[in-house]
Amino acid sequence: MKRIIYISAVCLLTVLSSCSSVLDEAPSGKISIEEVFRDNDMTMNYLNTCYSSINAKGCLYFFWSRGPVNWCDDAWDADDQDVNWAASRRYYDGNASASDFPANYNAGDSGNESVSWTRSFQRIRNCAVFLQHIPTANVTSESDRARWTAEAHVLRAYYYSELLMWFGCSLPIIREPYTLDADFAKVERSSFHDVVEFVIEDCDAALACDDLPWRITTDSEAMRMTKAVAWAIKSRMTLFAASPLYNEGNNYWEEAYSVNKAAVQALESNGYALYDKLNQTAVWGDEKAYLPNKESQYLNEYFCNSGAYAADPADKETIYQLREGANSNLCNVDAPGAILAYKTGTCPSQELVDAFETINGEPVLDLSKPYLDEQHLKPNYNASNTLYSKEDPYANRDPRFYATIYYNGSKRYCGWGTDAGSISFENLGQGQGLMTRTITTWDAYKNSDGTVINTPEPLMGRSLLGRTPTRTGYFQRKFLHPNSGKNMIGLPGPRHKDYRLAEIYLNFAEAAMESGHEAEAITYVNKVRTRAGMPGLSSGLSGDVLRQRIHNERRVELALEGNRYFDVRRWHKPDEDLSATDRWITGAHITHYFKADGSHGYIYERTILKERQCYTNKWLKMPIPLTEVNNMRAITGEDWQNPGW
Amino acid sequence: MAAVLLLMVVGTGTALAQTSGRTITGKVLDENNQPMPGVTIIVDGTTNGTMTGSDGTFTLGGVPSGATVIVSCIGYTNQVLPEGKSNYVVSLVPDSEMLEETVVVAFGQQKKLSVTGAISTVASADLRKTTSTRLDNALAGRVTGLTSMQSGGGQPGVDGATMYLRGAATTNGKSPLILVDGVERDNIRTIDMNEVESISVLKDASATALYGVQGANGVILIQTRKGQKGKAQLNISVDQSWTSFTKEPSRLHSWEYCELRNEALMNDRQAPEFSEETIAKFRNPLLGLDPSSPDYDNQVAIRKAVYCDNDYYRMYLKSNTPQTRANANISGGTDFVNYFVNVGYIHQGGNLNTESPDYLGYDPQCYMNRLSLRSNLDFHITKNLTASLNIASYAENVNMPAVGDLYGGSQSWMITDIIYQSQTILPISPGPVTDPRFGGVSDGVVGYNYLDRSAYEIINRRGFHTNKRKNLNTQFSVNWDLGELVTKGLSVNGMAAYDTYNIGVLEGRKKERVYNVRVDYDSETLSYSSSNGDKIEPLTMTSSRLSNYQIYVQGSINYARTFGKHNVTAMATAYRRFWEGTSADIPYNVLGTAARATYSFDDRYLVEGNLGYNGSEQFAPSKRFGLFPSGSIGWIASNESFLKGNKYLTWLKFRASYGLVGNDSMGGLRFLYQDDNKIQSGNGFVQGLGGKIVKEGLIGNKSITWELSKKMNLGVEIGLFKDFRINVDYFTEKRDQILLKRRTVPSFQGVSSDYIPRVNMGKVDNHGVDVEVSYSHTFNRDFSISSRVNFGFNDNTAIELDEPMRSEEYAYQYHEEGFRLGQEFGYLIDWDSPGNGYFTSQDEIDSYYPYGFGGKPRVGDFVYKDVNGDGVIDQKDLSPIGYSTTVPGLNYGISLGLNFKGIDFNVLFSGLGRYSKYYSGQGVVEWTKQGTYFDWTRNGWTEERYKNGEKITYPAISTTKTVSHTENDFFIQNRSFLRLKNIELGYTLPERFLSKVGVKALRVYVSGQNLFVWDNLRITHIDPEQNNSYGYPITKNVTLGLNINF
Repeated sequence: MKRIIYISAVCLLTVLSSCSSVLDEAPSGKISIEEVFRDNDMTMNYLNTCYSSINAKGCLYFFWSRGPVNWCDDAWDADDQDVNWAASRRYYDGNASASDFPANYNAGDSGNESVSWTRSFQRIRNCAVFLQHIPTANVTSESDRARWTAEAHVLRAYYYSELLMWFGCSLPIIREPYTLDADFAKVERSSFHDVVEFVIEDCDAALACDDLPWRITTDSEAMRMTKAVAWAIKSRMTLFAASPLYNEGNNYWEEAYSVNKAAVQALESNGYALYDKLNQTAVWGDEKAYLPNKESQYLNEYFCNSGAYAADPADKETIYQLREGANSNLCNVDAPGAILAYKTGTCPSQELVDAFETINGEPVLDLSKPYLDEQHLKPNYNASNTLYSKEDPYANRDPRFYATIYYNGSKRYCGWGTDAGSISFENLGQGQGLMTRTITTWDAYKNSDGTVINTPEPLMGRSLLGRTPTRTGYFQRKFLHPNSGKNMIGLPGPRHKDYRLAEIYLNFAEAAMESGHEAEAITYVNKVRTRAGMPGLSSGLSGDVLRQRIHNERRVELALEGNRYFDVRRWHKPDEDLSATDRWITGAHITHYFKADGSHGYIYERTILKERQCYTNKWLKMPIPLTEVNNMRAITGEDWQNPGW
Repeated sequence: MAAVLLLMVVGTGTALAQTSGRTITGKVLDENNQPMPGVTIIVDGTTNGTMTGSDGTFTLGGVPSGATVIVSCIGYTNQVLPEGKSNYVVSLVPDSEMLEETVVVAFGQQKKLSVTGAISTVASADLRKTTSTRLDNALAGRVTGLTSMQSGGGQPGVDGATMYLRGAATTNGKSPLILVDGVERDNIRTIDMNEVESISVLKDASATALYGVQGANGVILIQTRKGQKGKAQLNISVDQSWTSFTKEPSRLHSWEYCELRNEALMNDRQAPEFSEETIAKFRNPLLGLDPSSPDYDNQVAIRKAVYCDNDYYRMYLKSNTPQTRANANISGGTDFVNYFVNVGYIHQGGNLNTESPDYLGYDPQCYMNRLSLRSNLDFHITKNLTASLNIASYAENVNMPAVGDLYGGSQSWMITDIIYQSQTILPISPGPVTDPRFGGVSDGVVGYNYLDRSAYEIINRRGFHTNKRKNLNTQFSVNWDLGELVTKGLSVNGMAAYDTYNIGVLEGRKKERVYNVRVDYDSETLSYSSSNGDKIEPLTMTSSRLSNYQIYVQGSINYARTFGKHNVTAMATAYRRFWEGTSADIPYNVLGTAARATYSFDDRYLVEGNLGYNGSEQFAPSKRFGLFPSGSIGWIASNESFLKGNKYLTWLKFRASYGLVGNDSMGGLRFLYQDDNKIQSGNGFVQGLGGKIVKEGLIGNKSITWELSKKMNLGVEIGLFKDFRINVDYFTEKRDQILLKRRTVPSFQGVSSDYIPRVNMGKVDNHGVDVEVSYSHTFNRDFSISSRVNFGFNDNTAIELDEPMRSEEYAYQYHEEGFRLGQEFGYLIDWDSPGNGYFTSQDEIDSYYPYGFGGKPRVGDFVYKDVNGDGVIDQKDLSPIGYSTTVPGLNYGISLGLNFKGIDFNVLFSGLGRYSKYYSGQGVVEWTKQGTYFDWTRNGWTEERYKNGEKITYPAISTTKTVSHTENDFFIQNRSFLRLKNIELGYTLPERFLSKVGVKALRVYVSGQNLFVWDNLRITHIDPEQNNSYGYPITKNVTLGLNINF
């Protein structure tokens, strides 16, 4: 009897005692941060973490969009109807708030394609953690230690520069990582200029390192930071800090001038140079690339290729290109929609087209007042331009125009995935496959009897609906391989060139102009113009006229690259708005007509698209996420939010 | 063995009805000498019988000499009438066995009388009246305090319920623990209703403390059936149902679409898309054609193709579909073994309108087939030793179209996309297949340029996908009565269960060319162009399988003994559960012990104590084990001398309980006490730096532990006139130590809020009332009635959720703390504005406060209140609207059953209340793609409708998201509903027709499930129970069935 109680008690107890350890977790590969820095390879991997969320940019903003290109007056996004919940349409409608801002659409911080306050600060913390541990980490090579340290400095500067560009406000400077029990009530924000000084300090720390290279020379090191990037960041950031939106009434132009001058010299003396000759003659020099002169050929070639990682690459202009190529299906997401019938994406604006000078170096419009009306329907033509023709507006333009934009009447040879419709007069009867087609963006045609039929050309005609037509009468060409299309879909899209020498030249020119070094400014603008096959600015230009020409040069040279969004902002004072540029965007309304002899021609008119709402004062700066602002106000009593949000 | 049992059944004898004999009369009295109506008097072994009238008297003819006459009434001991008399006075005595009625409780059974916790039970007979294929759905409306919502929709095989017991009091796992025969198992989903013996729902701490760290959300105990000693009984039932959707959008004709699209464009100040002429041709495609034209037939064909009027919803989704169920079970017992064997089969057809399998070569239909088997055997090995072996298994195939490389492999995403497309493809779009007359191939799939995929292709032409799920549950237990060996009332019990699960996927994928169609209304032509998905692939098969298992062992010692008026029980148990997840991840472990002691005196005073001591692998070793005590007391006042025998108040019992329970369910996360940094490799990383990153995950917190719930329950049970029963329970719960993600730490410090250490700092209070009223009465032999109303009310308040406080400018500085969990917030519409909530002119907009979100308002958009008075309408004005969107604050059920002669009628209504939802996005709004219009968007605000005083059911429709399409008291809607959950009419054939063919009973019935729903939604095409506005809709069905007992 006692035996039974004993046995049963033992049974129960065995279950418990033998098993308490089963509640321990089985091996799972988890490691602590201390362990990471005890190991050479894991330390290296941690630096890789610091690299891991640099935005891919280009057309990889959320939903294969070109992001800021479409959010400024460079272009209109043809996804504003069918994907009307995505960022572009929300910008156009002014549909944004601090808790739900369209540029941060993919707010889960998971994607690469959104602009994220929190993700930038996470990587800044990673850099700070790395810099904190690297002096004592178990690293096998001292030159590795030095180079990695320098890279972490440049990376931190890079992430801060992105925050400054988008949010444009005072920020906390993080030299040492915060501990989670830190007293956040004592946090202080540094002014825009002070943060830029911290960025410069990080860049200078990197530039002092002998083990940090000037150029990446092997594919496996793609994306790694270099001294050239450090200079480029300094160039852009000092320019921004001196600009009206950020200078808080101070004149920092001399500082911007001297930093940029040093940047230009450092880059030039370390092998960086403008891209000025054709390399792949068989493609870009071919008649079927439909590029009218050598400058348009090598410029299109430059933007359609990723730069090679080599000691002596053909592309010596690119300073930093981003991680991923635009998808190889660029021709299906950001190109004339008729190629593969998916989406058109970026539609360059009439305003951008107007900015391209004629080949003789004369602006088309009077840059001091380009439009006579608020809505940009009445262009104020430059009286001294005799080459421009309203009837034939795309003739005799800057070579960059042909390398950047597909316009009505231009031609393209590629694999087409669509049949031409019965009223596609220019391409009548064409089926699918490899062929040359005329880009036809007309939205009405006039029959031989004179009646006007308001029907867009069925494949490429301008329409305000659908994902494949153009909204403006123009298509993006700058990054589109001349032949990519059906059966050629594998042609790689280019990586986005985040920093390139031409921008540094223009940064320098602008800083020089603003600080009174006008001759140097003209010299460097002219380097860019000469490369593009354009006559130089005359040495007599000065003051506002020179400023307008330099600003316009930036717009043309850096078109569709995402710079314009930031430029139009920084050129304004904090109390101004963007109504002159970003409120009304126009396109070309084109009517196709037959002449008596059976040939045909076009009538070009201007047409406004919907009024955009993203031009008011608050749109100068992106809002800080509402939760962060609320948190900080509760903790510090201070309102961190940007004006108007 | 089944064959042997069948032989035994056939061998059962039949009794012949008696038609001659003497007549007897009498009167039946109860224990208080009151006449008893409704008492049955029957000649044993025959159908010859009668019932007492309201005065307690009876007359029964045709009593043969030597026959045994039995007087019986539920709740009383049967009496046999002594032979030789013709007039009887019978005094029935209450059946003490009835008082011995037991309830399944944690780790055992308890006398119903002595229960002091809050426990609800469901009679298995009620469950069998539902035609729901799932037990969890069938529980809706049947358990006081249990919310069961079929929120996932009605797709065959994926139509699960969301359950809450007494609401919820945490932000983490809210679902109750569900045990089948004492073991946590996955198959509440698949249990055949015929297999269920009883369901106990344990609600308060005294009932659930034994489950310790897992018991805080309540426990549902399901016991499967066992055989009873006696002749074998065979029961066969078959039914056939026709299933359709409870709600669906009404048809939108092509011309209606054109008009609405134009209306939306004009509201947005854009040019209309369709000309009057085009719309007129949609209304009448033959408009203006000359019938005498020689080409007339051809012109008609072209017009009909160009100006088509397609109903894609119906083209893709059938209006009804069959469902078949069949079931056979046999039960009985001998001296050595009791047995219950059940075989069930269910076929649920799907509502996709697929092409014929003969044409396709495979079947992509959504359907489910399931065969299930259960065999429960109880062996009496010796006088003191019994053993049980339960084996249950099922094999089911859930079929649907192939998912393939679409939708990230998600089947549910695919199904919702099909529903979405069926609502979104325009009636003016030609399709679904190409028309060779316009240069298309024959029978090619049509795609639409506004959608980059085609539902028709997915439903039909991309192949099929079958989930093959199987499981085997085995359970062996031994009970050894040590009453003779050790001491009376002592027994030991051991149990081991081993379950395996096997999930296989067979998928056949293919690809066809899809042709985008373009219509040109000016030239009246269609043209097709191949879309980019032009890689054609033949059908290729892939398959995969996963299997996992669990083991459960439990040992216990039980003691139960009565010493005079003292009744004592005690129990101690220890258990371990060990299992692997579906993908062979790190194994899961549960370990625990529990003990209970009860004492009652004279069936009047009851005391109970419970103790759970168990551990969770979720926590660091020092925080792993916890002690969960609870206690309860009861007083059966009706057994006191001053109430005993009271005619009116027949039952009165008071109960009170208090205790601690835990919850270690952390919303699916595990091992939160450990740092979670891992080395991760991937393509986007710098190869020159090893190609790997240190993926920094959650920072561990060694001190985290379970949520702690302090539960109190006060109950009273009242019986009136024996027939009325009223139970009322009041409960409070204070949930503490809720594990939270920190939210007041600023994000610029750089650790993602997902990875900041979790802390036990949340607090939620919950309280509520459960009321249950039942009435059942047998009037006479031919007529009885039973009805039940249950009602559960709960209300919780979030006390601490680490919510950052907003500034004073906000109308509400907190949106969670101080409110219900899941409280909806939105903009308050000023319904008293000049336009009754809508802007009626641009002047009105210009003179009103500016909107600081979502763009500029249009005429016909909502006028929002400036709640904080700062002159701007923005987030700072957000205010609480309606109720919670997660947990309904009210659940109720009303059932009624009538038996009249052979006819039985049952009806069950169930409902939820104090429940809200923000309806948004696809399936709700009108601006998706090229415009999606539902009933409520047909009468959107327009100046014309407004001036004519027409009913406005929607703001001015738009082509895009406007300031009206946001959280506000239009789109946050009251989701309360009352549903006719089940209604059934049956007829049992008189036995005299059946006995000759060896059948004991044959019943035919017709029933309906979910036939009607009453709700308060503004949106008219979505069932209020459904969560996803474009998910597979909830279904209703009508059933014909047959049930035979041998």
